[in-house]
Amino acid sequence: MKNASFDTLVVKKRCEDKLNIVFRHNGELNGWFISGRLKVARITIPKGRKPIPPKTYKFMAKQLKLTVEEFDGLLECPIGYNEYIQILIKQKVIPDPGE
Amino acid sequence: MSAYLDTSQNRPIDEWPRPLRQPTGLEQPPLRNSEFWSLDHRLGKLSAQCDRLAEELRKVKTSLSVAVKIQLIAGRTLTTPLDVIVEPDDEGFIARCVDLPLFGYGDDQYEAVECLRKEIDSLYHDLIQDEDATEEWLQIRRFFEKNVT
Repeated sequence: MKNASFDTLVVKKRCEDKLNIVFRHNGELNGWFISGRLKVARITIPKGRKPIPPKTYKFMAKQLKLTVEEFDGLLECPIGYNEYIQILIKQKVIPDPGE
Repeated sequence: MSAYLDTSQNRPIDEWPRPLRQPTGLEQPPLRNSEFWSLDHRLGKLSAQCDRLAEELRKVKTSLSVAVKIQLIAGRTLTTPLDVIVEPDDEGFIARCVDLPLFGYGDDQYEAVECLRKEIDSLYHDLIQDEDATEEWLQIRRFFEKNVT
């Protein structure tokens, strides 16, 4: 788990850039990952936590339906939008457009 | 000079005769010097022990997970309260909902629960606004529709 490597601003930026999540500011930052007009996952980013505490980090990964390792990958680089969609299809969260 | 003199006896106050105290029978013999320092030492040790116990108690209190229920969201009442677990996370606390994929973070338990409550309010409004969501979220929407009065 690489929670110590990322602060909340990095997580927010990666979610915006890679997953096109638009965050709202109402207490905490939260936003929806939307695929095909459907709300699929909702992530909350606690404000001003540098670095992100471990349980919170795990829960944020869980909100995006990712393992901690996959979430690390999303924040570091290897996982982008397409890879994320593939993970959701594999988990049957969203349907496979090819089927 | 008159302030220091007993005008009736014309003697300095220091030299006035001291009033005699009647014995009560409960008097303790005066402490010897060694006994006094021994007591002082024990008192110091007890005080240090108290400090240690207070610190341990504080640690136990803050390391325990606490279960609470949220029954009010968006100014409305839930007929089925939501179970919430509040636990320490680094220097703060995380409050997470057992049945919803939501959490709140705060410097203390109260702040974490308040953040979670705001998250639930926000989710409630999001889901009530439109139905464009996956089945998982539609189930939560149905839960809100059924339980928020």
